[in-house]
Amino acid sequence: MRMLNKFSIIPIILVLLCGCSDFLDIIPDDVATVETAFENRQNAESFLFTCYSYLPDPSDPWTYPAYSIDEFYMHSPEKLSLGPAQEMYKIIDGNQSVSQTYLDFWGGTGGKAVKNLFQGIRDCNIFLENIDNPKDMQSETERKRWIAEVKFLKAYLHFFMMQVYGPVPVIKENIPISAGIDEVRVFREPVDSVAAYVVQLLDEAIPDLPEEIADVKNEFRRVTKPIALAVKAKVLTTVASPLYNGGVSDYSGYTDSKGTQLISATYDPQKWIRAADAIQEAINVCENNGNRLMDTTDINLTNEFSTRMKYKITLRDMISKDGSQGLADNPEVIWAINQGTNSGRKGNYDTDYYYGCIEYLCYPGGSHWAGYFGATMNTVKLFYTDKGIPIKEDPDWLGIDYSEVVTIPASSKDYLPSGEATARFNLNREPRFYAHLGFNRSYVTMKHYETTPYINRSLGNEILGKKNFTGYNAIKLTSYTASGLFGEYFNPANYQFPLIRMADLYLLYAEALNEVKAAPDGEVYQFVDKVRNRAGLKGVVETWQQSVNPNRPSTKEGMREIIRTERQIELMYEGQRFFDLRRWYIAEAYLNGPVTGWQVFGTTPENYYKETTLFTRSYKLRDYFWPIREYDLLVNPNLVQSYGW
Amino acid sequence: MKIYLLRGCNASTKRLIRKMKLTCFILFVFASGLFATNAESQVAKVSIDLKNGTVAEVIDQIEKQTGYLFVYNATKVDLLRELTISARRKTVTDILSAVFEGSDVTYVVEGSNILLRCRASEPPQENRITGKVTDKDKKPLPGVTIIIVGSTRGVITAPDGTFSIEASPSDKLVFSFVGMESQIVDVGNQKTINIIMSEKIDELSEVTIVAFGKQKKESVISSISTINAEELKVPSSNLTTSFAGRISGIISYQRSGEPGKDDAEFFVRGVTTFGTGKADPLILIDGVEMSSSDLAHLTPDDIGSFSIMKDANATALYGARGANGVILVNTKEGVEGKTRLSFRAETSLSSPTKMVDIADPLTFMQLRNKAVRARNPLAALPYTKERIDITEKGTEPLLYPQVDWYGMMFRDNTINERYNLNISGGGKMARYYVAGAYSIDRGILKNDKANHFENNINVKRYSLRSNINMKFTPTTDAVIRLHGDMDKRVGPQQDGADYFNQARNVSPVDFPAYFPKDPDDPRTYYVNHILFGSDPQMELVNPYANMVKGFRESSSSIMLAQIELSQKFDFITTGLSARTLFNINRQSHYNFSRSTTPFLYAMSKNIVTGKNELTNLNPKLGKSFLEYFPGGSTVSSSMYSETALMYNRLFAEKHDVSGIFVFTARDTQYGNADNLIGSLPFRNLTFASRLTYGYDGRYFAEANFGYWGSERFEKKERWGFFPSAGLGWMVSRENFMKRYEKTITKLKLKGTYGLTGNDQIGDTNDRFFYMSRVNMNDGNRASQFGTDLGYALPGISFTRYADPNITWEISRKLNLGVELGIFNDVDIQFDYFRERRSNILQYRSDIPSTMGLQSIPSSNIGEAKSHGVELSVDYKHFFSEDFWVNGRGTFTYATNAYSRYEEPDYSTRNVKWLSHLGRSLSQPYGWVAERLFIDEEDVRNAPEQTFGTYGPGDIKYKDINSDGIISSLDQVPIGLPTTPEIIYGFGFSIGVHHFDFSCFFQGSGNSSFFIDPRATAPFAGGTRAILKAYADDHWSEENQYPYALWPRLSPEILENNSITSTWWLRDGRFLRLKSAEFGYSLSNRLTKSLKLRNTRIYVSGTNLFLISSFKLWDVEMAGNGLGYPLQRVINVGLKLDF
Repeated sequence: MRMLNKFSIIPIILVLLCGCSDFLDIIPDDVATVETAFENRQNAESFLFTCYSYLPDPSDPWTYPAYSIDEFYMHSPEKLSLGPAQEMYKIIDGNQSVSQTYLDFWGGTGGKAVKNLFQGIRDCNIFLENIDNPKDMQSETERKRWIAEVKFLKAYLHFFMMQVYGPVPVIKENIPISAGIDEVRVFREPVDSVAAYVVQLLDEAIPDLPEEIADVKNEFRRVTKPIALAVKAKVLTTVASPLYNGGVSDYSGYTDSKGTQLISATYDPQKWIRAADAIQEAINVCENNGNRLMDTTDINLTNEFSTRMKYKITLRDMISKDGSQGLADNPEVIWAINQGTNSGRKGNYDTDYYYGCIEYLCYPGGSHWAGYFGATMNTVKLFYTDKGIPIKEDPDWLGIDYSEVVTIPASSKDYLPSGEATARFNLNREPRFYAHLGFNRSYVTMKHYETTPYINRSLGNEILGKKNFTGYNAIKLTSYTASGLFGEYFNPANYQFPLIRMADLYLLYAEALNEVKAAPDGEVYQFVDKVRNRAGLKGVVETWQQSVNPNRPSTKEGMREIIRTERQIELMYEGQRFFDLRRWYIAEAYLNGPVTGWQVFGTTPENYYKETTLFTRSYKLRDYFWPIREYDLLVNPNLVQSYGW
Repeated sequence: MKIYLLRGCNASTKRLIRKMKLTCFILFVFASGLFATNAESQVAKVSIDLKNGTVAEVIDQIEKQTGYLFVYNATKVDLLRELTISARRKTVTDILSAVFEGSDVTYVVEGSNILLRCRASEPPQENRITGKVTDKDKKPLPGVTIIIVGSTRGVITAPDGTFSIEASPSDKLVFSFVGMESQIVDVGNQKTINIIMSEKIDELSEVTIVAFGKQKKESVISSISTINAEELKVPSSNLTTSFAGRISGIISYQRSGEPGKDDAEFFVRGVTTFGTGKADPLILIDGVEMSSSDLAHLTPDDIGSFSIMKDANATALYGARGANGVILVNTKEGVEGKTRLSFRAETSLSSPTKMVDIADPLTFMQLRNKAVRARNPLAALPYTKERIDITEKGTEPLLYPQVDWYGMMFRDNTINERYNLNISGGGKMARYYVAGAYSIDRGILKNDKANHFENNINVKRYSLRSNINMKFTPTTDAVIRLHGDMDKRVGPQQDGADYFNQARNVSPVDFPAYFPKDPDDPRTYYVNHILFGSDPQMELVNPYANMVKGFRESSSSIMLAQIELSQKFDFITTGLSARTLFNINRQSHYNFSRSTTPFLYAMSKNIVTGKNELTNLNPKLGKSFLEYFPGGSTVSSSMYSETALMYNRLFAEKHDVSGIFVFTARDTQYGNADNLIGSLPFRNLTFASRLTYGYDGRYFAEANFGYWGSERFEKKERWGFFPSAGLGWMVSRENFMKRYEKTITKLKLKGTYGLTGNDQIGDTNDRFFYMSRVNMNDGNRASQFGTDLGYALPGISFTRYADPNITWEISRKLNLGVELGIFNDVDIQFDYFRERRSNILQYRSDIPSTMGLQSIPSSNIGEAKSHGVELSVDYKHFFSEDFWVNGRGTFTYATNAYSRYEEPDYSTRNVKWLSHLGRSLSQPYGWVAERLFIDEEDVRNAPEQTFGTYGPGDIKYKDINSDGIISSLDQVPIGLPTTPEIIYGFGFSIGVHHFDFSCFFQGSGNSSFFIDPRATAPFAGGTRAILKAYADDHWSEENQYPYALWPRLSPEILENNSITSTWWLRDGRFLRLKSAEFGYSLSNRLTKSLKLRNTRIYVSGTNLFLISSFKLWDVEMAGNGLGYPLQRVINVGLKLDF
């Protein structure tokens, strides 16, 4: 019996041991919650940076919508995963549809990198709701500045959505998660209302934003007053442009379920006046702040370089010269975005442009596929001849076979190695052609080869391994200081990708003035010529005297076309042309038909320089605005589909 | 303690004794215990004071006051004889002597039983009885005690098992032997009595393992399937592969045959939940929750009992975990007796049941040319005619090779080995079962002789198990269990399935696996690495190089220690006992790899010399030495304790009452969790109870409840209460059934209803739904500013929004069952079940994306229901000692449906058919493919399809909603569920003399699957091989068959042809010969000369043949057919028992 007691005590002890009431209460205190994010300045700053992180990244060739046109071609039967498998190329191939929406900024359903931008807007609103909480802000001015920055970001995200989808819901305040079904079913707002709200937010933000960044070391590239004004200028120009301003008669019946007209089908000249005013203000503030076009005097070279070479470098540096020391470094750029940190991108894609746009430099067995972004012949053709006018207006170019193989004459030695064979197409072009493009038998314009020129030889099998499929690389986007030797690894030089630069504003102003005025005058010419002169070209009026249409600059329509071409060339490959072609409502003219390149596997110059069709694009009216997923319409019956889908 | 006694019935004494034994087992009173109490019986004192009482009353009194039970034949003993007795603290024997003095009744005290019998009216005639005692293998048993019941006379068998005893015809002989089941034999007119003694029957045959305990089989009304571990012995080191069809109520299928990754998936009565929570059953090994891979690694030889609990009653006590059913396995324990050693060795030959056929390299070239032109008439052809010609002639085998990558990389078969050894035995104080197992499973990858290491998959598994039972006092038992299991995989860097994919994805004509060293070229001749082939761009993966370049080692282990103590508390009140269990275990896993970087070479023809030259493509990157790559490691530890108070008593001979009250606590922690939430322990607390009542062996009632606490929920939702109840009726015991006694040996009706719960809702790492999850350090939301982007801050993101109302998933289950026994040969069990699962965690689907939520909130809104039937039929018949047959068949049908599911209101767009309500949880949705487009005209006239580019020869879909556009709204439910709704199996075993043969068929029905058009698309990624079936049957300009197997060829994956549609829908039905075995047991003489108890050699096989309408690959792999194929195994085994 004694034994029994001894053992029977064990279960009793166990019950007592385990019966502690807090056995299940295991959550430690101090687990992060929403309140934690606004507990102090440090965390709130993280949230501020979070709001910044939603800015769509123009340096990401896979997710920034602007590359879904004909600028780049990337198509290799051996490496499909880099090309057609990417959502970007699904759009290029015309596969955007209501069933499968690619680069879905609306629902965030697609690839890893594209976020639902409404999430960004929600975070901005959370920030605005809670920013009063931190008690340890450095000053009220700082708090106001942060509020202004977030209002700017909220405005920009709305504007971006409007550019992609047209009418979009305006999320002025966050709808609570517990809200009822009727409350969460929002409507698409007319584009004019969206723009008005965006402008209102920008106007609220502008007074509290700094003129320039004082603490360059820590805050450079955060939003300033010039940036906000430049964006406001763009917003107003956009809604004044034909697509949004009565240019599309089909939109007259485009209403939502309440009967609200979503995109105006009637022209309103006042919009251009407001746009011109806004651009002028932006230019004034930027110029007062020290922004200007970069020019050859900014290039400080140890060697004696020809002027042409200086143009080449200048025209590269204006994009990719690292301006991180402040404006003095690169006065051209008004707003640039931190490459590689936005949109949640990490890893391999960071340096796509460095690799993708460089001319055959990378080691062929490296992990990256060098030079795979082929700049299409369609875009290369847009570049002017050496006279500064389009090929089709240059009398010297009329009727010639530009595929004809010729020997490079000594007169072109600054741009091309004399004695080598090339196509006539590559001779006698404007400086931007040579500065922005790399191609077979061009010099590899890199700092590394400053003293000993290096010739890009990429005919047929001359290069073992990777090559692009058009014959051209947009070396414009590769930093001049990046180093890479043939057969070695490549060391990219990071830079921040420009979203708005002075040339952009000047051309925008010329465009708006041309619309406002009855006929183009010196003021209009002046702003186009600023950009042309910097590229080593003469003024519009003077140049066109040599063209087959010498009177073109004198008419409003003629000047409109000149400005549009100039803008396309100047901002080519920079993620602007996509939005421009749309708002001008001329994308169908540019984006239908064959996309071409040279016959890059040709082993002799004669075989190589044959223009071949890579694929045929089609662009319809509905493509001006992307569709939203059919499922989103099921969930919210108040939404109407984008026009034409 | 009272014993159920059939007073007044005509039952023979023999039967009564059997009943007693049964009860004894239930009460864990071992034979040794009987003898142990015998000594005390002489001193038990009784006080009786009766006037004009009856014999029956005296018996009653003695039973009440002592632990004695009377056993007698009521027709022989005159119970109503009146008598007067007055005894104060007299011994039982004194009283009995007084009571029966002068009557013809004698008494014998045997253990705690008192046998009453009538003295023969005639003087007994003594005969000499002779005979022989053997075990069931006919080996003579020396030392068996033979006693005449009611006397002290007895003999012991001689070394050859023979005996000789004088006994009268009315005598009964008791044969007893340690470790054997005692037998009582009526002498009658027999002169020779040969006895075959069998080992003490496993408790299993008389009791059923139920939650936290055991219950008399007849009184169990829950739906519990038990299966003999013998049935699960298949020639595989993965136990889960044997479930399908063998166990009724289990839906199971196996999708891969790769060693170490070949676990079959299994669900109890299908799946009745959706979302990301737990859907597979709770697995308990010796009472402790383990993972399905732990179950997979169990050795069938070590399994003592295997039961599957299915209805609410059976699982209610497992409240929080029982909703998806419970699999409970107890390992073997030592049996009292001589030390026994049992050894099993198996060697098996394993080969794919079916390899996917791939078109030959020449066809590949021609068709790839065709594919490129089919989509772009302007495109350059990948292969010139000249090149195809040279390839065909084979004159340049290195420059233009034809590579059979499958043949290069994979063997036709492989050899696997398994060894088990177990030793058991023990005495009254301690018993032991110690087992060790070792197995080697190899893959079918080839090794390269030039390599110094093996790169074929090789999984070695070691396991050691020790179960020690101890008796501390006559009423205190303890079990100590120790178990260690370790497996070690050595193999290539990636999984085997990856190599099957790579071998298919690489071009068969662009380069060979490797080049021979060229004696004329010192640059290649003197290198000591393999000259692997590659395309000049190094875009393609050389799968062979990838496979042999290095290896990955991984190892997982589990260590477990467990102690169980049980204590009887009869001194407090009869029938009370308690039990406690404490378990700790630790699991760990690590992996790492070592690899070279292959040197890749390309061959080109030097135009000047005309010679083929090799170029090293990566002279700087290649590495001929091994580099080390650390892998991941995980470690976790668990603690589990269980304490139970039990009560079990029979009142007034008819009222059988039992109860159990259990308290458990469980705590698991992961040592290297990815995040804070994962680092918090996983805990449960339970209070559970079961009460059972049985009346007269005919009517049974049972009530259970589990009160479970889980760490996952908000305080007010933290505890869940899960009650259940059931009723049973043993119809065959009723008087009106008596006349069918011989035919219907058992007929039981039973029904249960109750609740169980599931706290494992949502993703494993997604616990604590009542809290928001904020990532304060989200690198994906970081921004950088300043000089050289020098000032960076991580961003903040919301992984989850708080919802304090999230609670248990609840399952309401109804089970109705019939158990039927016919002629003692056939046992049929049939169950109908119905389940309603509510509070299923579901993502809110009415929140539009414009809300901008970073994670979709979930809520307990989903509901699902399921129902089905299961049937098992067992047949067992011994025609003679040397000829027996048994058969088994099972059938399980389980179907489920969404009954509440938040989804958009499809009626707003008139597409109500998209609603999930009423559809199976695994119902696929897709488009209805009509045919292939005939020509451009046909394309133009058809509604627009919105899945990318398409043209003639591509799939044409049906415009379901007739809106002129084929979009996501044109989807409809297509085909049958992807999880099979029917699993069945049937088989038989037959034994003739020393030979035995068994076979088992298994089938699966009511399921659909899809050929994965993306995974099988030829030329995808540029150079993927084309399946022979597609090469033979596709749409082309020449063969514009609108119902061809594959649409028009394309050099890339076409979205239009890849969406889920009826075009790719296939029937998942199959029937296969799952296993067959032929065995031979060596004759007695031979075994004896080898000093063995038993020797058996056998040949067995699994997956021997398959009947299915689908021929491309093994249909059981369903859409996964291009991975590591399922294996057909031919096995030779030897089992020795010492």
